[in-house]
Amino acid sequence: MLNKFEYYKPESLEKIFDILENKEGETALLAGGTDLFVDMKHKTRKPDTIIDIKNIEDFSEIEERDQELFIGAAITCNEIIESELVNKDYKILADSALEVAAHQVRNRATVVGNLCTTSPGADMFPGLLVLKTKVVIVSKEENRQVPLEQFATGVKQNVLKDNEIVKGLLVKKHVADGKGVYLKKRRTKGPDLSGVGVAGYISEEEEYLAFALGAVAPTPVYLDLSEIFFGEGNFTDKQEKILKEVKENINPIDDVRSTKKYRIKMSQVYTRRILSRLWKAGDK
Amino acid sequence: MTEEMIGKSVKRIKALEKVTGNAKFVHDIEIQGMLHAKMKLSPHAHAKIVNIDTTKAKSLPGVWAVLTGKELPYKVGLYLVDKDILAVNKVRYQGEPVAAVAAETKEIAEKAVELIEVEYKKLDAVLDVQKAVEEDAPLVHENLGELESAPVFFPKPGTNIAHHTKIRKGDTEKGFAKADHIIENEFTLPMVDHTAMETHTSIAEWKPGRKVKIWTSAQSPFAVRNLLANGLHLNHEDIEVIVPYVGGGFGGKAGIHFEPLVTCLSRAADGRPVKIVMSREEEFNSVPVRQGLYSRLKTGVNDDGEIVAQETEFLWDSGANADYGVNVTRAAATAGVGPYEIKNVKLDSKTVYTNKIFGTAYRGFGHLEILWAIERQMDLVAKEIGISPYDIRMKNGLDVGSVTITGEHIGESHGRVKECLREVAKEIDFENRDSDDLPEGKKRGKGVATLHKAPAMPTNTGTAAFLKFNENGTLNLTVSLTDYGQGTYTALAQIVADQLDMPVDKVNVVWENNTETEPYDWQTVASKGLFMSGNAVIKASQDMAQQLKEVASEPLRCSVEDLVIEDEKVKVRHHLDKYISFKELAMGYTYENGNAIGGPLVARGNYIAQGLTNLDPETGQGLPALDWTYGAHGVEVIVDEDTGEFEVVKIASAFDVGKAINKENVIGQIQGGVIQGYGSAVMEGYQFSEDGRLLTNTFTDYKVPSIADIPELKPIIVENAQEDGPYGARGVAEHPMLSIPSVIGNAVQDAIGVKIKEMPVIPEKIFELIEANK
Amino acid sequence: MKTINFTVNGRNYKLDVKDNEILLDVLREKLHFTGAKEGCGEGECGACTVIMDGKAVTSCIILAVEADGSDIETIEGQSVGEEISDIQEAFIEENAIQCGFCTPGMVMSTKALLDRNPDPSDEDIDIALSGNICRCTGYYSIRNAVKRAAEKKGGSQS
Repeated sequence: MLNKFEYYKPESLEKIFDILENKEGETALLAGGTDLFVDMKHKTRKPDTIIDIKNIEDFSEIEERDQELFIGAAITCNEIIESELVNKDYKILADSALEVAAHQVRNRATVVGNLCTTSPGADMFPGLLVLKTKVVIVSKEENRQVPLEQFATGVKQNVLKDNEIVKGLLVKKHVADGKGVYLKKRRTKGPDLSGVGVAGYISEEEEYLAFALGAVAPTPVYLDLSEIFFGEGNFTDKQEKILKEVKENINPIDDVRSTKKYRIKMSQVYTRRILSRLWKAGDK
Repeated sequence: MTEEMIGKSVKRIKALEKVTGNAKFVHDIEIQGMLHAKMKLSPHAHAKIVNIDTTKAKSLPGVWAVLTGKELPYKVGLYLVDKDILAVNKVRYQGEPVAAVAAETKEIAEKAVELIEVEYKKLDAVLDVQKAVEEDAPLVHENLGELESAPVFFPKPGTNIAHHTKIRKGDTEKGFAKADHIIENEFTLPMVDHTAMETHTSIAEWKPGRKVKIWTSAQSPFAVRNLLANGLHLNHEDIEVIVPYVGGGFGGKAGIHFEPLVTCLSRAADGRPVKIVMSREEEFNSVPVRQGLYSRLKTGVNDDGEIVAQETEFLWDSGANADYGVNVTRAAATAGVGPYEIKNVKLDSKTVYTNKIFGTAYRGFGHLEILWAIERQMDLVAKEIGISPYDIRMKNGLDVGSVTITGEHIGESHGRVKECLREVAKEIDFENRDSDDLPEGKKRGKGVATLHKAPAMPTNTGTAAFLKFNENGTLNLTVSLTDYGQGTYTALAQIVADQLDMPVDKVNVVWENNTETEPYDWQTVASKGLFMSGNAVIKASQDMAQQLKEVASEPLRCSVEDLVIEDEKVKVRHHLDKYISFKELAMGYTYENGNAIGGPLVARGNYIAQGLTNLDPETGQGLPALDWTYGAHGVEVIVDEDTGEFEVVKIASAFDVGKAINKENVIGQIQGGVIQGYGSAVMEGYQFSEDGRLLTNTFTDYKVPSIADIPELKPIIVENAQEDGPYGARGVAEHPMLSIPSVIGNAVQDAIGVKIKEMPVIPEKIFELIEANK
Repeated sequence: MKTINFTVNGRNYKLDVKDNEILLDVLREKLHFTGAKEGCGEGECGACTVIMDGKAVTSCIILAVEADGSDIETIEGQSVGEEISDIQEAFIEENAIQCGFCTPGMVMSTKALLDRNPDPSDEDIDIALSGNICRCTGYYSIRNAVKRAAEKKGGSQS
């Protein structure tokens, strides 16, 4: 059973801001609802007002704007998986989206929603982090863009204020040689939350290499390793340095999905595997 | 009829209703005026109930009844009557119902439950079986000595031991003294949930004159009726239990569950029907599970692989109640060394109470659990003495002439475990485990494991079947064995069709079960359904054949002995062109002049387990087994020797089913069972916090296999007929999942040498062992 | 309370629903389409799968008000009188049904899959159906049923 609430489905941002400003009690924004309604069934959230954002025209857009990809707040995971644009230049996002829950849920669950729930293991974080994504946040008072690595502030906590709403994401378009891989530890080959999720991305032309890890710390971890990787030294030494960076920047826990020890191990293993897929050892 | 009916893959009965969404489960049923029930659950593993205040809940508009344990002075249970309907005085596990509400809507019921205030005083909880058997352990049931139990169970007052089964064969001291090697290991496995897709749900309508009508998602309508009658002191004939379509059971819907609660709520709500539906979270928290098990096995073995002595201890984590668990302990003990002949055996199997959700029957009834220990130990022993896991099993496996641990002599009519083992070893090319084709760091492993199980049930378990003709010469078959997916009804229809030589689609097996109109069946459990009901149905068919002949003999002017049944007709043996059709006899035969004889034909057959005995309480000797179904699995895995990640490449599974009545449905049971076992093996298991809270209470946290998880599977049907089985058939419903964890553990050990002793087999644990071996 | 308009299996409905009502409950309890089941209530098991505007969704975590203006397909719309669909026929022929509780959801997920991909690979099937839990069959027969249904559909087109 869901608690009682008032449901609104406004057609403009202004109306959303009005509601956000004038409603007493807790207000929840609804896109796919795949986290919200589960939380409500568990009584961990009891919003008095729910604002369905699916009627805002802009929010259902996915398009390239200059050298960035805009992903509207109502874009679902399956829309990402099926998008030609995404599959062409941002493939790691489609690969990551395929890791989110099950097919039916992905028809509802949105990319932005996955970020806004801000679970430590949210599958969309690592891929978006390594691509350098900005979160477009709007409110009645101001519009701001927050780099994704600054978005999460704790377990299920983020920088969003009560009167703010995420309009969409701006994902940096990297040059054509860019390549990304997302690997995830799961207990089943079916839908599962991440036990460890590691994304790696390389653009040789831009001399950019980054890794991002989910489910190994209270918030997703982003590591720009370009300096190490494109600096002096041989591959083996650089790999060791990268692995050391990864190890030092994570702080996993034991839970029902995995153990701290194994999470540390697999963060290392996945980092190495991704690196070997992105770069043939000995090339540099 | 020219077509062979037995062994044919006749399409499943009621498939059309299920595939169109027309099949109505209890979940789908609404009764006029129906109220909705909701339970208040204990947040603590062990606590005294100081006070329950229901005032606010009772005054909420739309609330018809609020009950607490104080108003329900009843105990309910199958073998050991230890279950409260709602907790009385104290709670024994997190998730135990302490109060319940019946209200006009689900929303009101939920609101009312929130308004119930319960004051607890926490008690020390015992969560571990080994601690629970220590002398100063907190007691889960202080009044154990006062509880009623079936005469073959022996609760130990003043302890947490609800039952102790002893098996003694030969002399283990002498056996160990002679052994070349003695190898001892401990094994553990956690509680596991059935996760039938339909959660438990029941509706009760209390009626004047202390009568009650129940619709319930249960495996065994008569067990519900009997236990409800005993528990609430009602007359059996005053209780009507209806079981429509049931969305999976796997043992979890055997015995009795929430039927007493809804009955009491309906009574308290002036006879309004009351429905309860478990949410998935409640299903995990408050509905019984497969028990956990701690095992210690000490094996004496000679250089040539002959096992000469076996000492075994099983401590079953039965959780807070053991009404069903005591029999798991007993039944599994009778199979307690696996399908092997060992001359000297000392086995102790104890049901132990802890402050966790309680145990019940689950597909395999303790055998998956003991076989985890037995079949892992077999490979550990083989490794230690340097013999092949295949050879050690062939060396010790049961043969015609072997004597089991309860003194049963294996005869020609028993199945052949070694034949199953040979088949699976061949199928996975067991001797060849070359890893040269694999990338660096990956190793191929192969494993085999055997299994056996007999039905676990009272010695006098019985069943019956009715047949009646319809006006058009078709038949209705009625049994109260339930078919919640096994396909038994389809096989029973085939048996009738074969016996009476008629098309199978003219045999209508009455789907909905009802204790008012159907003949008795003890329970739909234990893989005994086809065996026992099949035999009853053969007898009913023979009875019908006899009656048909008797009526037909007059107009055909010959003796009954000269008549045969053929092609829906009764024919004169030597003049096959002289006959009368079933249709003409169904409602009585009418002569041309209007005279009539016979009358509407009804027939019956019954069957009761033959020759079973209670076991000697000190030695366990006796005959516990109606029939043993044997089987074996072979598995190929590829393991990453750095991370412990592994891939099950192939499973081959062979079972000696005696005779497959419906091949396609046998394969369906094998596929479904193997994958359920695969879930137990590699992903499932309850996890608790230190204070006894269940951490895995949703499908998000408790994973079961999906379609993406299934490895290649080769089902193999072996057929060595069982003399007293219908057409030689044995049950094979539970067996496919047995030993799946063991065989995967064995294959992983084979690949990289790690000695896995804890279930489930997950990369985390393999990795720990890899690290420890470094 | 909100008034919503939508179609279920092609039939128009206009009804008043509470803001906090779940689509599955409205389908089952108000409109008596009980084919879709609640197996978990959290979008994890797929028993409640229906097709909404052409897409398979878990109706247990969707508000009824969200369905305003949409076209819903349920298992009840898959057969017409005595005529069952190719998918349903394939499920029967492949013995892909045991207890039957997950079956309506499985059939709906299969329909959504074959509507967008008439010739799915094993991997496509796994992706489309891994959100539908079946505890009985072990899935082998279900995978075969999806393939057989695809063949039947291909057959009827050519």
